[in-house]
Amino acid sequence: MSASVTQHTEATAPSAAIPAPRRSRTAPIVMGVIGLVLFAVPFVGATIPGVFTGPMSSPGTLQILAVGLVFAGVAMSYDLLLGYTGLLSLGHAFYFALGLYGTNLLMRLFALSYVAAVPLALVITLVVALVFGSVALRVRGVAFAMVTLAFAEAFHVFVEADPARISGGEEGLPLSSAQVPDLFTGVVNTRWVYWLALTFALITFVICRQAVASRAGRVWQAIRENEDRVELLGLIPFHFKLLSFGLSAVLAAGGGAVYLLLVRGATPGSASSVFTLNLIIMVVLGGLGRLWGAALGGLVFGYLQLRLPGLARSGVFDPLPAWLEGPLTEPLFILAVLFVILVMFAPGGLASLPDRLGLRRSEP
Amino acid sequence: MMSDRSVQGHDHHGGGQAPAQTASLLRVRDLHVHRGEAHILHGLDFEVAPNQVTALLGRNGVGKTTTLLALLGLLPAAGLVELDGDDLADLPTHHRVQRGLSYVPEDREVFTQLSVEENLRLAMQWPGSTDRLPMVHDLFPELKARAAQKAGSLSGGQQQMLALGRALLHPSKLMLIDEPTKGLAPIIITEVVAALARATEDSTVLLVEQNLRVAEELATDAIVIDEGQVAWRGPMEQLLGDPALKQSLLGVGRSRSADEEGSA
Amino acid sequence: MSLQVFVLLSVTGLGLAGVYFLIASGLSLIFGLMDVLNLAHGLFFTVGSYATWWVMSRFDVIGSLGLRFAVALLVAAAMGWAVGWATERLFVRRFYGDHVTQILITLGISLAGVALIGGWFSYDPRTFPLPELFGQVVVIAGARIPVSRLLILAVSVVLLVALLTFLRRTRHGLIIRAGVENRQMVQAMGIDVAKSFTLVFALGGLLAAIGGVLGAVFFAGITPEFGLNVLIFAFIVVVIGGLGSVEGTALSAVLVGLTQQFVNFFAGAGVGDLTVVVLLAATLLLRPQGLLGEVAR
Repeated sequence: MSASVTQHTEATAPSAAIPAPRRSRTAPIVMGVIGLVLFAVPFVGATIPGVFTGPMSSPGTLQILAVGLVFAGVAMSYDLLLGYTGLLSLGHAFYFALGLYGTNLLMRLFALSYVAAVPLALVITLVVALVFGSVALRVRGVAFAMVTLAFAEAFHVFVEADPARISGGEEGLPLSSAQVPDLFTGVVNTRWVYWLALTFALITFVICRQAVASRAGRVWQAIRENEDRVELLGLIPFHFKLLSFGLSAVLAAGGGAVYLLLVRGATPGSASSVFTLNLIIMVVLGGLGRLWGAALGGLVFGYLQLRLPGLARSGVFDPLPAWLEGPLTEPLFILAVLFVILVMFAPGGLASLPDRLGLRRSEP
Repeated sequence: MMSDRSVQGHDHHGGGQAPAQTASLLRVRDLHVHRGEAHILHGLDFEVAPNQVTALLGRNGVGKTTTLLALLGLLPAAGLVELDGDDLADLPTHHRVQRGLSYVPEDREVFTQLSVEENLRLAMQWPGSTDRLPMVHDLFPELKARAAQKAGSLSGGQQQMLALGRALLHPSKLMLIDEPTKGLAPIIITEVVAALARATEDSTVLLVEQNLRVAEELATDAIVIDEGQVAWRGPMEQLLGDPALKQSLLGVGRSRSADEEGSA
Repeated sequence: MSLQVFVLLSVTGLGLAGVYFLIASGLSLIFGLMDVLNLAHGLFFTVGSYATWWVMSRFDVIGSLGLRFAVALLVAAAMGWAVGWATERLFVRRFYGDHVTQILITLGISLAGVALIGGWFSYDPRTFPLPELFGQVVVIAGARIPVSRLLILAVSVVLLVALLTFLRRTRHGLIIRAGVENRQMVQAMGIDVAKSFTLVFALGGLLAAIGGVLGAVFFAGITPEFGLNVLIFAFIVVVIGGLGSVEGTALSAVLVGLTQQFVNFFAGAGVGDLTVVVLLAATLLLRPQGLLGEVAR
């Protein structure tokens, strides 16, 4: 019972930004319905004016939606880390980029087809994640954040400076379409890439949900709340944290592999810390610890990122004074401001809004 | 026996006598403290009389340090805490200290990266501090001699002197001192106790001590905590003069361990 | 390696170290005192850079570029102080004790700031005229050193000394140093540490902004993401040097700056940066408290 002045403050309450886990029975049903609706989109000829420039089935619209879906999946993978396990990794973009660059490089260097390169890239990502994770997880909190940031930045610098002359440097590395199945090449086949992205998002959702509901998932949440107590229960937090780290990395890499088909190349920007920070925004926007919230955050982010410049060009923002118009065409600005507002006033993110507005009874 | 421990009743006064003076400096009523899921203090009631040293005693882990932390506002607590008529509840720590509390923590907590002189200087923001410095140097000549030395390189006993000196520079109404002899060699303990006795001659002190011999030497009255409540209070000599009482409240008497009972 | 090359690389490396130190010192103090990982610190830096660009390109009313640069320094410092002050007062302070939210808020502010600056001034790299003096060359040990490099070094050293003096000779500095070590005990001595929080943020903002001025001189062009890119190295410097220790930060800034310069020169661009990351990993594995700091919490 010898508590020093500093010691007693260690048992602080969990962050207000991370709400208690929700176990909703309606969520899978809702997701299933949404999944079907999304699946049907390429068949819909109708237009949603203002929101999209072309009919829903047009390649342009599908492209935007597909990017949103990829981000949704990657955001969910990040939610596993941050929302459920409480690990503030500032280097998640690294694994996304590994999927992106890895698949591309494997295709180019070893003349593999896309279908063969992807699983290999995922395996490589897993190995890398486990190795780096083992080092990074030796420390906690802020130090962990900084280590993950440093590792990611190292990779970013590596692909950008390209000392080995393989990554294409600042320009990036284009996709060699020859090795990609015909199904996915060409603008006319955007719908197939769209469906691939949708599949990725749905699979990721299912995997994440299963993981979170499993025993490991419960331990993750216990670690997030109070890691020391988990140790007292006889469990080894390190193993669980590493599991979370590895799984989320592989899922993110999967997103990278799909993204490769969407943007037809790999650029260093995908490995930048800015992207990780964007991921944090996506996940917090949607609500930490709520998978579908993270997915929603990713979708919204992807949409805004691709749509806003077009909106600006169309003159929607012209009535606004110049100093306001500039920032508003930056999707990042809108999102960041939204993010700050949400963090300050609705810590549970967008997903908590139904609760906050009294539309849904909170579950224990 | 009048001070039967089972008499804890609904009036929370347990056994023993209430302090003689009616104007107490510190009044605590119904103090509750939770730490995590544990309910450590279940409605503590006690008073501290002015101008004397009152010892806060009890078995290990019973909540003595917790009580001090709660008084300072360093732990969330519910209940009344009144210092010289001032209601301290809801005040942040630094305000409570400004209202007249000074603190010598368990483990001293001197600023190891700062010099001895800087440690003291940090404490000298009060009117009257400058006047008190010579007294502190007088009491603890080591501090004057080692003024430029980094506090982290001081011995345990010297750090204790520094922590005490630091608190003394604050002309406070009530000093809260937590286990000042903890971890010190017997020779040093003697020194520290002598210094404490001189230092607290004209002060009001609430002293948490595990070492009964030290408590006996310094304190007039005693308050004993057991099971989250005040189990006994009264004059120190009455408590120590009663082996059965001592045993039941403090768990000492049958076997002697070196640091719990120093008397021959 | 000839002496000239050595001298040139050293001076450049030290100049870079100076820039890193200016950002890292504030970051280190903020973390040491408040346990806040201030991701908005890069923004303070960028503000300084853009303030410089703005004054140097737009203030034609001041004919002398040298004078204009002095004005730019002052403007940057003032803006850095103001933004730092505002960040703490309006945002960080509301979440005292909630570290995750504080990090997230500073993150949001950082990105909003980047986007705001990008929206106003575009993402294209900006350059600006420099006083003629900066381009002149001083010959040291046979090496041709631009005056600008020496100036960066000089300003950094002056600020290092000023910061240390502030910390060691003033009461505010004393409180900050004690608070970095044990915030609760300072409170228990009747001192309101929260007042120091704002001071530390404002000071950090000022230092980072001046770092931004020097950084703008050091690097070719400035972009809105400039601060973020440098911030990463600043973090590395902070962790290697030890959270909360200004002296440690200075030491590690020198280590990082020199390593980057030398290794980049001899092994190719980018390799030096990688080496610095390896240094970070090594520090975390072997000596988590950094060179001179407390244990990384």
